[in-house]
Amino acid sequence: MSLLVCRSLHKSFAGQTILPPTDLCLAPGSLTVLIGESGCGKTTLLRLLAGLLPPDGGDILLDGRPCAGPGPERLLLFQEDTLFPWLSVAENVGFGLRAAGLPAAERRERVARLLDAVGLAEKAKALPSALSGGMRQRAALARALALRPRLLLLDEPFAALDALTRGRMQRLLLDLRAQSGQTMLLVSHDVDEACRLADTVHVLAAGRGITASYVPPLPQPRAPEDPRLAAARTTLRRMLADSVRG
Amino acid sequence: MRWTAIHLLPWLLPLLLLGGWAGVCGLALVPDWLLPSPWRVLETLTAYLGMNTTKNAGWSGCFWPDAAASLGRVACGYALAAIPAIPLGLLAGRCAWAERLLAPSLNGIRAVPGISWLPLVILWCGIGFVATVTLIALAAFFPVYFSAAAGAASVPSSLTATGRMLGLSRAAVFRRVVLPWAMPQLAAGLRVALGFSFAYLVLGELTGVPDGLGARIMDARMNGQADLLICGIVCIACLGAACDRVLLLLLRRLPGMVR
Repeated sequence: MSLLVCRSLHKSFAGQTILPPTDLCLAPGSLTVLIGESGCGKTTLLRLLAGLLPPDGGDILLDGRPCAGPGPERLLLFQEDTLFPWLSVAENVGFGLRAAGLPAAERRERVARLLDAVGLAEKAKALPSALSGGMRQRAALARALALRPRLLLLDEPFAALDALTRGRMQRLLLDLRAQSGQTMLLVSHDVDEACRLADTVHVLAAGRGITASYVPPLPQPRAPEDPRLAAARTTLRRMLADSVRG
Repeated sequence: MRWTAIHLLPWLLPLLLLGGWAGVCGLALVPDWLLPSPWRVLETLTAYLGMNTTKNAGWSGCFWPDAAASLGRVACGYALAAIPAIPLGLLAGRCAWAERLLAPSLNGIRAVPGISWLPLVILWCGIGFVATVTLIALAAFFPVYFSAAAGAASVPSSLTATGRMLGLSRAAVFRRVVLPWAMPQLAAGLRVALGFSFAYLVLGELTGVPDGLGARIMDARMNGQADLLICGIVCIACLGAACDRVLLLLLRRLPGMVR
């Protein structure tokens, strides 16, 4: 059974169709990447799934049940920095747990475990301003995972990072997914990133929704120098170019 | 910056000013009744503070009741401004309809110079406590309102969205995300408003109230006592700076100020 099912989900702004009726299924524990040119509706689809935008029509079913509005079961990790700058790293990570009314001891334990997992145990008391961009994204990732969401939505979360940090963050994401079996839907316009991370890649085209899907034919972990990865990149680039041409 | 520079730099300008003042008086470039020497002002100040019993004038030791009267007026006027300005500003910053309702009128009223209100306030409230407090409230309202509105409007939508996704209700997002985010801007507005309050305190007290630092300055002018007049100005400056310091210490304890 699919964890998430979207049927005919669509959205327009000021009479312009941003996302035409789109169907999408996500299996539990899968890592799916949405790829496409700028303005093709990737972020809109993610925001609809997160409940941050009301759809014009269509259904979103999570575990078979309709869902609307934002909630901790579908968390979106933004590209920009969304840590609360007046809270320490540990307070940021425990923010949602506190809102959920988790007892302090359990909260502390879960925060410590997550900070350890993302390599920020030593920065627990630091303010976000004292962290690098990569550290801030790791803290935001830990905060999202703290609530154990059913679905983690990632909107180009590593786009603003340098290549080295981005590579480390991608490895961290794969490690966390291997440990927790977290279902993830990631938006990217980086073909390398899509081929490296995804179980399935969906290609979006402006005004046409999902035009093609691709399953990279190689298991995880995928070494950057693996020739099959290079072949997958070539295939995906071709699909992307075909999709843009229409 | 080195320790000496950090601690000595704030004193440099006042010391230069004092040195220039002493030089002008020492060389008798200005008559004493127009600009008394710093030493004479210091002597008057100690008498005004009640620390110099050798100088016995009607105003000796009157600083404390004057300061209490002035601070009481500032506190009332400031509270009268800040209490409605904070919620109204925050509301205008977050709700488009509130902004559209309030902004045109408040922008218009803000453009009126404070001194223009004085005749109307005296006409309506007479001379005294109510008029001074009304003037202070009018002056202090706008910096608080506009800073609160700007602070609340500047919250990134991704931050409020994150709050909602992390399980906060709309009210909790306002309390735990919007308010702390807006706090530094709001604090800046509150500090500016406090400065305005002291400025308008003097304006209000110059109109003929019986006590207060502004009234003392006015009396000194009528009696040609430049030394007492300067004392009054120095006292207001020190009191204003001390109040700002206390306000800053209080504001720093609020969520969102340290980041």
